[in-house]
Amino acid sequence: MILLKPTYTIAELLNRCLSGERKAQEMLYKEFASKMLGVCMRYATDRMEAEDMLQNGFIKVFKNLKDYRGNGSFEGWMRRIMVHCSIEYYRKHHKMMQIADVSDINNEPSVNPEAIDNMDVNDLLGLIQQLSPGYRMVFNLYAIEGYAHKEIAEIVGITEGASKSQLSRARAILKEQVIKMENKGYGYAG
Amino acid sequence: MDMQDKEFDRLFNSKLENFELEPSSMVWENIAGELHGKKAKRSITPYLSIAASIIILASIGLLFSNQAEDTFVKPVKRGKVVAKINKAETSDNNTKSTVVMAPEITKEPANEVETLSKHRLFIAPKVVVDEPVNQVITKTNDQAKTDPITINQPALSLPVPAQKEPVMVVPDKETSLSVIIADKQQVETISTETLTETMKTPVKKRGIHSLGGLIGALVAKVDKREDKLIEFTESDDNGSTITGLNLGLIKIKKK
Repeated sequence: MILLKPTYTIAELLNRCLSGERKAQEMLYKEFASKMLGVCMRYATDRMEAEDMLQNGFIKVFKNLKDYRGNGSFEGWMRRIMVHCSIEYYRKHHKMMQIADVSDINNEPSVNPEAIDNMDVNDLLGLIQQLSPGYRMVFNLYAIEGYAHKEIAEIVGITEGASKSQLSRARAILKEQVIKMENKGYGYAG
Repeated sequence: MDMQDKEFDRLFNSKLENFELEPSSMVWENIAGELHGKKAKRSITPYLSIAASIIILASIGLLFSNQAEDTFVKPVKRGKVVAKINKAETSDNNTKSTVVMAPEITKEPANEVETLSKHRLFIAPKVVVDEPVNQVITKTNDQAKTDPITINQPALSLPVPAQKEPVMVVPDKETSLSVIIADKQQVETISTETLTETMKTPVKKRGIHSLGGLIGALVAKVDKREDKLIEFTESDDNGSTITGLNLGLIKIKKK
């Protein structure tokens, strides 16, 4: 849902939020909620969990609003908070991230790029949600959020090496899954 | 591989980075509630704690008033206390003397038989007593004439006079009559000199000569059990030692 704000800039909106104006806060929320839920969906296992993460994320955003100095886009600042909250939420409610994976992947299959392009977004999302939490987090942070392994190690609480290996494994699994889906959808691939 | 990896990542990225999904309305309600509701919540808490405090205090008060097992007697002055009490009267204020009647008398005579060794030390707040103060005196109907005077507690619905009641008087050096309480049964005028001792159980001397005496007096006011939380006895030179301790689980008494 896109809210047209012909007369307000984000900066003005933020000021009004800082002074506690409820209407402004709601407007800010409505502006970014859908996008942020999209972010949370990648870290959660299902929609309900994603909405919980979203809730926590926004509360943190409003509480720390004064810390936003204007460096970089507000959306980027908000997104970072959302990611951190999602990971924090996941840690609280789930066991420690598993590092071990059952499947032993030596030969990575090659994936047709088009296959991914043609896939429905929701299907891709589903694949990510099916990943083990550890792989999921790392893949999200690296491939989509764009963090470096060093940063990921800090956020998730693992070593850089672990981050790298988990990323590899995540990719391998996803490729497998994509191929499977492709086979189902497009017939048997030779 | 790397190219593949990077491209792989990129493909996922392009599809998912801008993925949007509208949240349910409950989410905003919860957020707003968290941001603003806190103020409302905080205002309730003080009221709850005040209410809780009142309830606790009231309960304590009730607890203590129910604890009373014996007559409350407030002796006033030492020495000669003479009271005239009419028969068959249950009024508490029927005294000529300066004896003050305590309003709280809840113990029934039937129970008194068991508690004959009970005696209470009551000290009127304004009275300075330098002698052993008073003892509760219970009266037996049968022994009215032969025995020292005992008086039943008033305000008790004494069923049948046939009930025998323990006699217990412990005057000390000079006897000072403390309580005279009217009740339905016969009562007599009492003068201090006519009191004789009838002790069925040893009784402690009480007096406020020392800190122990003072503490003992205060404890007696509050603790209505037979064996008080802590009991003092005066030693020779106006010191006091602990002779009894009653902590529920642990009971110690020096005799």
